Amino acid sequence: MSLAGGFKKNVLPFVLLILAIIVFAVVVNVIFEGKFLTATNINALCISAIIASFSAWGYCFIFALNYMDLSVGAAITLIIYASGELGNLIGPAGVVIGGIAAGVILMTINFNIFAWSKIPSWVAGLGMCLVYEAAAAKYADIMQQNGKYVVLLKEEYSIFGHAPGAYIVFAVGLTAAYILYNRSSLGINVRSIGNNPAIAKAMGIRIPSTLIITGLVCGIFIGCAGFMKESYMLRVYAMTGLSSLSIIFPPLATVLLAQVFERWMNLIISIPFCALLIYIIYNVLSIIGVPSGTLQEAVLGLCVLVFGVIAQKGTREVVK
Amino acid sequence: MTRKKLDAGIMTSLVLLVAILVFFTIRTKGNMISVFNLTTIMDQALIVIIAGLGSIFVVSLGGADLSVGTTLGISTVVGAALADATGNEVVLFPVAITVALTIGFSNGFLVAKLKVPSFMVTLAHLIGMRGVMLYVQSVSSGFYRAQSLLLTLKNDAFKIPILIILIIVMHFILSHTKFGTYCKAIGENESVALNVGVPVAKVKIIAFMLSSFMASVAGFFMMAKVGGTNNTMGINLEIDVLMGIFLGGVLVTGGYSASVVKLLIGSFTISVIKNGMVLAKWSAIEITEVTQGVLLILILFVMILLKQRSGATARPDTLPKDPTV
Amino acid sequence: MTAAREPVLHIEKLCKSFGPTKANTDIDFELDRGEIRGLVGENGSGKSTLLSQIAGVIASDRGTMYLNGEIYAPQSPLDAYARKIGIVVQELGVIGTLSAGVNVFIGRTDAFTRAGIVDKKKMNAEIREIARKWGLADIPLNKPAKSLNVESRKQIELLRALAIDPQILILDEITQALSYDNRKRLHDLILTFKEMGRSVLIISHDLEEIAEITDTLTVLRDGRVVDTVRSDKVTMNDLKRMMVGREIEGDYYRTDAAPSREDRIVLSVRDLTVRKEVRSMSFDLHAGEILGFCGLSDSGIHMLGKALYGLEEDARGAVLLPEKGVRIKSSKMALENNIAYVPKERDGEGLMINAEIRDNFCLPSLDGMKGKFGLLSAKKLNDAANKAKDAFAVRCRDIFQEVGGLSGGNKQKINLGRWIAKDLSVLILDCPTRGVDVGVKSYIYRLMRDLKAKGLGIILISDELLEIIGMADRVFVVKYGEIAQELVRGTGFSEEAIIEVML
Repeated sequence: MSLAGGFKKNVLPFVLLILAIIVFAVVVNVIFEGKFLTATNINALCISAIIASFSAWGYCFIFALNYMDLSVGAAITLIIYASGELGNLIGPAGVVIGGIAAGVILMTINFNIFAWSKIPSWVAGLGMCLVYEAAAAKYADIMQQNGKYVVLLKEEYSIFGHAPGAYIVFAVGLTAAYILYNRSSLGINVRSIGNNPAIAKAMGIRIPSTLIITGLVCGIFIGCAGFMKESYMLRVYAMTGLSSLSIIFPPLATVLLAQVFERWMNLIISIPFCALLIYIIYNVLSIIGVPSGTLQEAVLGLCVLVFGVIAQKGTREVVK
Repeated sequence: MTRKKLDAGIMTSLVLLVAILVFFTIRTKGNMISVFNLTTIMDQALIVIIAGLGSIFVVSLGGADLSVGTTLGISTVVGAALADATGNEVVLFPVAITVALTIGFSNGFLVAKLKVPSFMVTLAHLIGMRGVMLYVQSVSSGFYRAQSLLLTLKNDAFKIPILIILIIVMHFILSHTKFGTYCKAIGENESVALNVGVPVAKVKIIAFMLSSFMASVAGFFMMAKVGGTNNTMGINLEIDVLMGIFLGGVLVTGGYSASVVKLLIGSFTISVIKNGMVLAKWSAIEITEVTQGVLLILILFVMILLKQRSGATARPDTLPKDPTV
Repeated sequence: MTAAREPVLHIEKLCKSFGPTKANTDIDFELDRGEIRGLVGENGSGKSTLLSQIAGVIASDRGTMYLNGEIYAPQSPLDAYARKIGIVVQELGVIGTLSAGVNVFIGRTDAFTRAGIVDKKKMNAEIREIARKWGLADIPLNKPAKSLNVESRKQIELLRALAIDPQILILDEITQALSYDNRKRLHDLILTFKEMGRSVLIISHDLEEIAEITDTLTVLRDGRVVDTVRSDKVTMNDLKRMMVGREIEGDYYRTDAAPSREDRIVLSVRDLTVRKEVRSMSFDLHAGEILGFCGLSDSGIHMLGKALYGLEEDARGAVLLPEKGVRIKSSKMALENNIAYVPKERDGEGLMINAEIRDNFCLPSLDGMKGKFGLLSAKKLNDAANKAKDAFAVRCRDIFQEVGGLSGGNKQKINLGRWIAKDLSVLILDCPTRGVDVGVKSYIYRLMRDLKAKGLGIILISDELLEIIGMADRVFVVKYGEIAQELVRGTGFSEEAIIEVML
């Protein structure tokens, strides 16, 4: 799956895709009388897509191990708070450090539970989702008792929430994700373990240490998603009652859609495009006048189902 | 029921229940076990039990139905909207049930025929249907007020007998019918079930439909209790149901470890925990959620440990894998 | 004359058992430098097990291996690699989602990393160099392995083995996957190895091929070494005689020497096709007949069993029950029409390991266990299970014991027994005595004789030729999904005859 060699075959799909998106955007804009292609709207779409891409890249590693982590949404909320607090203390550096550190800690906890407890990852993730949601709610509670709301990141520190900061981080993230997943020993080993642990072990891949490092890498990407989201939104409220699951859905749909196209386009690279596509759909629905948080979620659920079905086609094993 | 299975699963869950009851009784200085409180607990456990009576079938075949809460919500909301529109309360019931069965069928079909993992399918329904439900509520005339027919469900004289009948019926279906046994066999080993001639796809679809159906029935009771519909109906129900099932000692893989008795013990346990926490003034959402999360992971971990220990007595009989020796 | 050099590989009294199955017993083996040795033997003779132990894929029970005079006890294929033994065995394979190039160096990609990034160009260049050096064909290195055909995947494994510049090359049934050109290249490679003073161990079903390319052949039978002979001096007949030719003991099997069956046909198969594994098979099964199917690992006989029971959705053609006028389209229909299927993988596909004996026994027969109100009656379930337990003399605590705790033989009794309780018309058996001790084996054969006498039609799919010869009225020898030949019980019904067709 490398880009080197086969220039025509590998780059062509992307070129086609970009053209398709541009055409689509223009058409939509015409239909909605110019409401679509406004600067603010495009910016919002791109930033949302970038944030979802980071989560989606994290998910690539999770899926590579055949795990499914449902706690990522709640984890991101916690990451956002850590990032915001540290950011307000020491500036943009704090935003980044707080985000990544929190991400690494939380994902490492998750991966350790997945790896050692033998509990199916979706259930364990569900449990951790509750724990993280509770932690976020507790933090909000403490803040409230001090007469404050949850952290509001100061505008001047939010350089990663808009151009050019956001795009620089995106470029770095894309490069890192591509290299790690496709071209590093880690990525190769992780994908081997997920595909056939017996061969992986026989060929000398150390499973425990690989799992731990993967948790770390995953944590970094989720952490980035977190600090970028904080930079963009400045303030995020704690969600409880498993509603944080809805945070997972855009990146989840993104990965599944990217998997559908995996035969023609590299997974990592097609993710930003898939994320953009999904947010465009969201956006179109909002422009039509659908109250936010209603049918958009339904469409998203439908997307996950459809892409999930396509991605699963041809599976011969037992599926529960 | 073998003595052995009784020991591991039910014993653990009973011990847990008693321990928690004792803990909270001490903490609340006896308020826990007052008659009034126990009836409150029963009342709260009711919804979880009814929904659980359907979900247990899905768990028994090794899957999960994360959409029960949303199914409860959307089936009642749509039913209520139509009852409102036609001015006839009776319409609510068949409409709600139909909506629920449709969701159940869609769940089952996607899992059984299109081979998408059950947690993903039901999760997608959870998120998707919630969106639809909120949409319907935003365009319909607001919240529905429960009328007389529904309100009869609030009456203990109706509530308790119906609950008992449901429990008995579901217990018999799970433990004493071909269908229930097939569900459990699929959970134990789906390949074996296939090789024996069990119509696996059909069984799975029916199980999911049963789960959604019971969710809508639970919805009727909830509407009666709350007085109508609102937009937080059924939220978190799936977690309570799953906890009820797992705390009762059912394995994540289901199989023959699934039983209605365990569901009852577990549902009671989770209700005691929630109730006790309120009484002990620990009702903040963060404490309830973290307790649920930690408990969920802990109980599953313990059950897996126990299963491993008892499995260690099995004689290793490793046959060479294909193709030839 | 130079003194005889030490053999590169020396094995003493190597033993390996799987439960009651003695796969390798007291194997003594020596391989010299520059020697090309072939291993031959029928299914179950122990050749793959021997190679797997040398390759480090499985651990030996007893015995010692010496490599260049030093003790050799590999814990994993990595150890074998470290000692310069390159392996292509069936237990391993490729990682489908990764590219072919990465697969060749899987686990050792660090050798090509610069600043954490795997230099694919350098890696692929080295792979092409390896291919060139050994005269192998080029394969596309950047496509994911799962998109390549079986032949290319075997090439990947071969390249992987050659990448360590091995002193011993182990090839387990690789030639059948290769096309003529690539087979020729492999032969040349083997000869080059020999010239370089290195050794090759090879298993192949193609007796003529293996006799041609090897120096010597070791024949295995029933887990033991029969003899090691020179390839240029031995005849095909000698080989086949050494591979088979056991005494059939006592009335373990049937004592009659003529086929017998009723006239009525209970199962009729027309043009049954499952993808490429079963190709347009047609035959009839009579009542009171035991119809045997045997073949090599890629013959498709196991897939046939599944297809007959309606388990294969991709199946084309017809499986008919002429007496009932029914066409079997699903396993549910098969169950309802009193057909039984006993799969080869007992633990994985036949029994619910963590469930009780009673539940396993009763699962196919639930319709008959109904009591009041159409509900299953615990009494009927328990009675049926107890009756079966006694009838089959299953050694267990009680019917509530977990099946996982029983011995292989007792498990098989349950696997079989739960079907016998029903009023069957057709019984499909796939390797019914696999991993089962002698006592239970004879029990099962006795059972088969009784069922045959009752008029049941039995399909016996087996890897054990003796079993087929001992029990079947007719045998179909299957090659590559097609019936190659039909043999009928009587004179000339022998292992030799079957091997003749099979190889």
